[in-house]
Order: sequence, then structure tokens, then C-alpha cells
Amino acid sequence: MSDNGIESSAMHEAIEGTWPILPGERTWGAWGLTAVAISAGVAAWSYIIGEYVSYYLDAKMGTIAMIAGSLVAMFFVVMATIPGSVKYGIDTITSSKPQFGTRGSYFTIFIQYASIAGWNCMLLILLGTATGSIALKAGWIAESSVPVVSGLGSLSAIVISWLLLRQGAKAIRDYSYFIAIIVTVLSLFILYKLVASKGLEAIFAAKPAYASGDLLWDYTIGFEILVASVLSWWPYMGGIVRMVPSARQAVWPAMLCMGLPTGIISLIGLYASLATGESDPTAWLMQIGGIKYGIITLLFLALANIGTAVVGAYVAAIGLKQIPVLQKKSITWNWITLIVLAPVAIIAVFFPTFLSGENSGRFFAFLGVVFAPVCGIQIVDYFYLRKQKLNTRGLYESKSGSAYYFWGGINPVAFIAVIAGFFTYKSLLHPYLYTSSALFKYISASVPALVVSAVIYYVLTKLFIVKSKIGDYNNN
Amino acid sequence: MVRENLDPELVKRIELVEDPTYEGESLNSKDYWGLIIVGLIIPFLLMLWGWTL
Repeated sequence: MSDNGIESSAMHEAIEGTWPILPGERTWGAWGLTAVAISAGVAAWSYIIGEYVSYYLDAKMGTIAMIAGSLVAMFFVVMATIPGSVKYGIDTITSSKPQFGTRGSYFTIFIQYASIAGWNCMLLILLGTATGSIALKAGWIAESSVPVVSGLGSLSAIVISWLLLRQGAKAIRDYSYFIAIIVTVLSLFILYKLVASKGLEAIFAAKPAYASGDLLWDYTIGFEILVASVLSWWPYMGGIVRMVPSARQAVWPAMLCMGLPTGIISLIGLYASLATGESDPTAWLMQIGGIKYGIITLLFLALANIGTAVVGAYVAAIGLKQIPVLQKKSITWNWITLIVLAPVAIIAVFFPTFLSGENSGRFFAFLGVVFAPVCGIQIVDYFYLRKQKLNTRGLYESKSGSAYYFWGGINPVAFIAVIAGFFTYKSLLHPYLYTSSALFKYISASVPALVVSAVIYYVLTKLFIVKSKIGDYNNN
Repeated sequence: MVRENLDPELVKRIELVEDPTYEGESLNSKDYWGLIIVGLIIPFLLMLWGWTL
């Protein structure tokens, strides 16, 4: 037995499952969350994001648009997830049941799993590719061996991630302190080397390769790329912040150490892409400093990407525990984490180019299109419709007549609002062709999609759901 | 409202979570204003400033 008469097995069920975590069991604190946030927030995906922005903006406007975009997106993610998740000690998926319904929340499990699996594929494949590329440039392997070495590099990263993940939440916090310090120092070193070798003047004088000719459109698309990318912290957030005792301890580490670093590290990708044509630091750092710098870059990529992949896989594993078949006692934490990482391994070995080139653009688009409406719905539901009060028992009941059963376990209003958000986004900006309406350059796409979804959810809930006396709105 | 039979350990946990004295410190209006300033107002001003450079 532990404090308050709570069985240690129940604590295990909470921390590696979906039960609420009690404040006394939340061992991360503000510093723990800061470390996990930096460990998760600093990753090589930022280079890809920066490269995308460099197609449209120069270094000056790109810097501003990226920092602004990352702050705005993180604001919405924080507002949608932290107050509810920290107050009740619940993960992202459980906190989506009051909006989507007991069965409707499978949709959020899907988007969480798809986005985290996608990001993990991108990160771990990128790490494998960097391993192959450095080994080739160092003369350790022949060109024909690069695909094999790259595949082995990705697989090794996946195995290391799984071994770390098996140790659970406390271990993730502990090694995040180490990863956070090393990746921060290494990323500053990479930025310094880039500026020192190319010169600030050259970086800031470089012109974007695919500027549209309409500077306001380019400025807005730079902002939009960051908003869409940073909104993808939504699936990560609840599973992480519920390990922190209070919302006050959670908001600033999340806001400044998870959202902002995505923007700031993306600047390396932006500057490198503008100055060298290559966002991947392994490509240009070895030209400057040879194999020594290559190994430093590889160390950075390994720590940054594995750190992020482990945090992602941890929250995805908690999300998957919502699926009844995976709640059986025989399905252990090891199995769940394996289920999370197995598709990444399959894609890394058999389809390593799956998320490269155009597909990575489509993936970013998917993130903005999906997470903006979900954030809008959660914010309006928690703050304006439920007045910051959830029916905790209802979060764990699933039968007809339970608090969040709605109709057949699904709240159609949430899905109508998501669809409305999707079409708002699409009418403003085509998710991956980047064709846009005349309004886009003035209002962007993700933020209006979020607002439209929130308004539609609020109005339809007031008109139909509250009057039907379902969804537990009448108790607030 | 239908009440399902839940695991007794889960029920015990839910009761503790619903006890307001057991909750962590929640956000106050100063925190929300801080978030609005950092998350909305500063980015908006940054974008305006960037456009005028």
C-alpha cells in the first residue's frame, strides 16, 4: 500500500495507463517537465520545418514568422490540454471523451497514434539516414552499403527507444535531464558553427528559392507552417503534463520549452537551408569540420531524436490503453510500447522514403487540418460549456446512459465541428498543394479553422446537446 | 445517469481526484493573462514589426 490507501498496482495502472494520477504521485515537477519538454521539443524535425519556411521567406522575416507561429500554436495547445489534464491527472485521450464521446474518442486515439507514429518515423529514419551518410563521407562504408547501414541505424534507434520506454515515466524524466542539457548545448554549437562559417550577412542576404512574389502570402505561409507543426504537440501534451502536480507548474515549461524550441531550432534549418541549400546539419557541418563534426552532429541527432521519439511513444502507448482489447492484464506495458514502435520499424526498414519529399508536406498539412479544430473544440467545451468541471467517473464509464455516451457513444456535434474546421482550412489553404484563397494571406488557415470549429461546437451544443440533456452539460 | 460498476481502486482514485483540496494549484487570472500576452499579443506585435522591417 502507498499513501492514501492507494494500492501500488493502482498507481502503476494510472501512470502506465489511463486512470487519473493523483497529485502526490506526480513526480515530474516544473524542472522535470522542463527537461522532458526540451528533450521532446528539440528534434531534427525542426530542420525540415525550417527548410520548408526557407522556400518562401528570407532569414529576417522567417525568424519572426517562425517564432510567432510557434508561440500562437503552443498557446492553443496549452489552453486545450493543460487545465483539464493537470486538474484531473488524465491523458489527452481521456480528456477528449467529454467532447467526442466514449466511442468517438477512438478518433482522437487514431489521430494521436497516426501523428506520433508519423513523427517517430520521420525522426528515427532521419537518424538512420544521417548514420549512413556520415559513415559514407568518413569512408567507413561503400556507397552500396548506405541503405543497409541507414536501415540498421534506424532499427538501432528504435530498439534503444523501446528499451528506454520499458522503464516507464520516472526513467523518462531522469534521462530527459541529461538529454535536455546535451541537446541544448549541441544545438547552440551547431547554430554557432553555421553563423561562424557562413556569416550572418550571407545568411540574411540569402533569398528564398520558391518565393511566390507576394511577400504577405509568403510571410503568412511561414507563420502557418509553424502553427500547423506546433499544433501537433496536442497529442503529446496530456500524457506528459499529468505527471506534474499543478497547472501553474506545467504551463510555462510547456509554452516556453516545448513550443518555442520547435521555432528556435527550426531557425537552424531555415538559416542552413538559405545559406547552404541543405537543412540537414550532417550535410554541411562535415564540410566545415570533417568527421569530428560529423560525429558531433550524429550524437546530437541521436539524443534529440530518440528523446523525442520516446516521449511520443510513451504518450501514444497510454492512448492505446484506451482500446478495450489492449486493457487486458496479459497485454503488458512492454507489449503496448512494442505495438507503438513496431510500425515505425517496418516503415524504417521497408519504406524508408515514405515520409520524405512531398509526403512530409502532406504530413504537416494533416497535422494542421486535424489538430486546429480539435484544440478549438476542447477549449470552448472546457472553459465555456463545462466551466472547467468534468464528470471524472463519466470519463471511465462507457455504457449507454453514462455521462459522455451521447448517442451510441459518439457526439456528432464534435465531428460536425471538426469537419467544418477542415473545410474552413481547405477553403483558405489547400493542405498540401498550398493553393489559397484571397483571404488566406490576411488571416492564415489553422487559426480560423480552430475558431470556426469552436464556434460551431458551442452553438450546436447549446442548440441540440444541452436541450437533449445528454453529455452531462446540465450538471455544470 | 447510469452508474457502472468500476474497479474499486479506480473509484477510490476518482473520489480523491474530485476532492478540491486534493487538487494542485490551478491557473489564476494572472496566469491566463500571461499566456494571452505571450501566446497571442506578443506574436501579433512581432508579426507587425517583422512586416515593417
